[in-house]
Amino acid sequence: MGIWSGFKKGLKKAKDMACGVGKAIYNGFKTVVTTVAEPVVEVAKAIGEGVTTMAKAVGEGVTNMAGSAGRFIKDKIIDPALDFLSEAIGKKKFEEAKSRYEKLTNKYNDKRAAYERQIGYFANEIKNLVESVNAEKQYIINTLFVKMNSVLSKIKYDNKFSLEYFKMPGTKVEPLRKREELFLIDFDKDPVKSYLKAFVSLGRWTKKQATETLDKIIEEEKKVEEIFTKMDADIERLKLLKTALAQTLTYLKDMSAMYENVVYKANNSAKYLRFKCMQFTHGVSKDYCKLEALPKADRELMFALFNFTKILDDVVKMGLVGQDTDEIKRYEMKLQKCQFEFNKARETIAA
Amino acid sequence: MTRADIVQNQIKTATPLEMAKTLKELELYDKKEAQEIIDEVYKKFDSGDHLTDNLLKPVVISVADGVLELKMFSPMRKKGLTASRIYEECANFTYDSKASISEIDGYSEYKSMRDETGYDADYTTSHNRKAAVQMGKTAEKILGKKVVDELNDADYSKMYQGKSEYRNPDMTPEYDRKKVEDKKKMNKYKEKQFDGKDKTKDEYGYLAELEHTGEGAQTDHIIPAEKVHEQLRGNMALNDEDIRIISNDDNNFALTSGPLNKSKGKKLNEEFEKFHGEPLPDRVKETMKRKSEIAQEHINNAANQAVSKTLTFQGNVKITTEDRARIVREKKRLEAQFEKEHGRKPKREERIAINSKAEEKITKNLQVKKAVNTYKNVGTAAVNQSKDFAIGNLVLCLLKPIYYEVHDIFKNGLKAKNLHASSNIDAIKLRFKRVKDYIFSHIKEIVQGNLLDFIKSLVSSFIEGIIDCFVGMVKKAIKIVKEGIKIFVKAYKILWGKDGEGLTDRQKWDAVIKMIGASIGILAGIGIEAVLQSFAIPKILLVPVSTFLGGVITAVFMYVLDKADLFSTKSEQRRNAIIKIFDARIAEIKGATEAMNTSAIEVLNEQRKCYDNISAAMKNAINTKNYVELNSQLFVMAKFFSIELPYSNSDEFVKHYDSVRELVLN
Repeated sequence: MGIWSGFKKGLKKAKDMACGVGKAIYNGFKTVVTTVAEPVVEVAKAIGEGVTTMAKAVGEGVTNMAGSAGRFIKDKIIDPALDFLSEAIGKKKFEEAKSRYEKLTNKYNDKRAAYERQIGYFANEIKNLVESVNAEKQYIINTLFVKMNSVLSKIKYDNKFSLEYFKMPGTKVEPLRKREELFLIDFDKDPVKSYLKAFVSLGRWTKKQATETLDKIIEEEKKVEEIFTKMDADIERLKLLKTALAQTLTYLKDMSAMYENVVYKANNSAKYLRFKCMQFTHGVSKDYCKLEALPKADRELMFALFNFTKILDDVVKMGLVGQDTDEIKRYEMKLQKCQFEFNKARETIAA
Repeated sequence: MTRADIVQNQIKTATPLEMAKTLKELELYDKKEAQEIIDEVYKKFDSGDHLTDNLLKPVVISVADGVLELKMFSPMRKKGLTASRIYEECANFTYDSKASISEIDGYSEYKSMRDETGYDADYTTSHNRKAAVQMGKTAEKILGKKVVDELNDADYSKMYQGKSEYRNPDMTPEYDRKKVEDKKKMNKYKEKQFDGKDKTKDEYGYLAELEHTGEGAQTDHIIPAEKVHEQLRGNMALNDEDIRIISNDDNNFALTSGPLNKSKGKKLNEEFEKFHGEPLPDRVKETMKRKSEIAQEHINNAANQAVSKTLTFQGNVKITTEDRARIVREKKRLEAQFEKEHGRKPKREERIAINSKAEEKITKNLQVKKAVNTYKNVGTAAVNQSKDFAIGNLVLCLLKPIYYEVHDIFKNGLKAKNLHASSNIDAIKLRFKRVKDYIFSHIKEIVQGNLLDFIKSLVSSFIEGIIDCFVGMVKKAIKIVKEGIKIFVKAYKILWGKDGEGLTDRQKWDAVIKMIGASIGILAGIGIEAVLQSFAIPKILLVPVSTFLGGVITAVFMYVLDKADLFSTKSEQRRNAIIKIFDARIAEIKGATEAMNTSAIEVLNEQRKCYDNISAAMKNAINTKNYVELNSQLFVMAKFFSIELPYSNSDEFVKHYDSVRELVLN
């Protein structure tokens, strides 16, 4: 047994040794292979990538070159040629005319809208002022003069006054000419006709028409410039009119306040009472009703009252802004009615 | 007064109560719409006046130009004083314009030069007459008695032989058959056609065959030699020898029957209609006409070649007896020179060479002499023409201010406003003074300009004279090239030179196109003359009619150009006119608005200040019960408002108030 087991042991040992060596060799080989393969693979990969990159680069380069050439041809040959052609047939001028017309239309529309807004505003303001003036005039005639009449009863006045009426001065805005009226040629709307004309006349006729179209646009621009200047002038005028009217109203109000004071003073002065008494006794002694019987100061006061009345009477009869005859007639009838009722009331009181 | 001034005035004179109304009623701009202005300008540019100016006037002037072409007016035309030129210069003249004169048009130059250089039988006859009369007078002086009682044109011609100081001395002006016809060449041609046979075909096709014997066949000059001589006798660059060579060219020969040739005589093939009283067959006429056209073409080509040769010192020359003697002398000289150089007499071959050299030299001398004569004659004609043109220019320079004054008298009266004359005599004196001052102040410019024009005209006339030596299509072609160069130079000056200063691009191109149009008119005049020559128009009317028609064509062409307005110059002018008008209107409106603003604010402030003072004083018076002061302020207020108060003081008022039952305010 011993040998056999020894043999078996030995065999096993040998086998183990051989396996070990084999494994070692295999592992070593594997290591070597792995060690070699990896870089080879890496190198192969790198080469592959390099080739791909190069191919890509070449491809891009070719594309770029083709693109550059194409761009070069486009930039240096095609575009200038198209440009030249456009210039020769008048398309460039047409484009310029079109662009200018569009700008002009927008500018015109904006300005017109702003103008109409301003006109509306001033119309309203002036209307209010006019109404105030009319009211003031009415007050003077219907109230203050009546009070004055109770002091200087001999004064006879026309109780009509000039009714102010404001009509906005001509603010009609000239229209812009339509595109069809200005454009002798239209490459956008009639391209076939336009290009055919250009071809037949070698561009001369279309260039002429485009040039003349541009001239018309320039003329229209100048026309619009005048229209704008007129609009500005109208607005300035309305501003000043408003200021002048406001100032006139101030005069009226101030004068009417002062007049009321004078009437009041004339009416309320100590000496007025005596004058009043004279009124009651005038049937007995005419001399006592005369103004010359008053003291100097009161005579001056009466004279002042008369003068002021005269001034105000002329002022209210004056058309400060303008008159509308139909409107006046309507107002006169209204006033007559009021006057009639007032007189009736006065008689009733007197009675 | 401007609108701004009016506005300012209206505002400053408005009372405080009128201010609002005045402002409302101010006219800051006229009621005309802007579009109306544009429409008016368009209407003006399209008006019929344009037609009168651009078509009617030029046609009427063309009629005048045609009339001035008549012989009685030739002295004027020779000086370049055509109706159109006079009108153009005078109508555009102002005292501010430069004293320069327009160039003479190409057609006038062509006609004038043709008169100077071409053969004109009438001219020659009258020239002969004058020269013969002069000779007669000289003879009378010498002999102390009248030479002859009566002479006719033939006598004058014999006496003076029709040679002028500058006409071609190598050309016999009258047809001499012996000098022109070359019998040898004609016979040679005949023999060539027969080519050793007894019969040959008739080149005109009248007979089927021609016999060699007797008068069976004769060589005919297709274009008769006399006609060729007539066509070319005025040519400065040709001589008798040239005409002999050209007339006797094989291309101008046709072999036909003797009787037919005799019957044709001096007529052109187109004029030869009947033979022996019978009309020629159509096919014969066709053949003869065709041959005539070809022959004329060959003659023209041959003439042009001869002219070119002359101008390049290679012209045809005839060796006369004298020239032969010269050749012999030259030969002897050359032989002597040879002997001296070589120490022996020349051998046979060498003598032949010396002989040809001597002939060559003499021939060359003759050719050079011929060329020099040609250039000298053309130059003399050019100088004469340029002198005439210079005189014409001077006359025009003087005529322009005079025309201006006459025109102004008709338009504005003798005592025109701008003259500030106190009487008619004063006005006349002022006008004369104006003309005189203009001439004296521009004399330097006139003289310098004239000198420059003389030189330019000399060069142009010289070239025109050279062109005139050529014939047919070649002449026309060279003329077109000359005009083309002129156009190119003028166009360059307009487009890039000082002639175009102050013009827009469109105006420059329009001017160039119109200049080309005018040149077309010139060439039309020449062309029409050539066409009319083929019609039976009397010679005396030929040039006037072609001038008139040329003028009409030019006027119509220019009218069409103007209407077409290829470069939109009319549109540009119209646009500029509209811009100018609108700029003026806008400036006026802005001025008026500015004036309104400034004045109104100033006046309103002033008025307010004034009123406030019055109001304050019044309130003070009321408060202090100072009614005397109150009244005095009321008077101030009344004045302020431009209101009249009826009473000057309280006593007056009181007295009146107390005396009446009622007191009406108004």
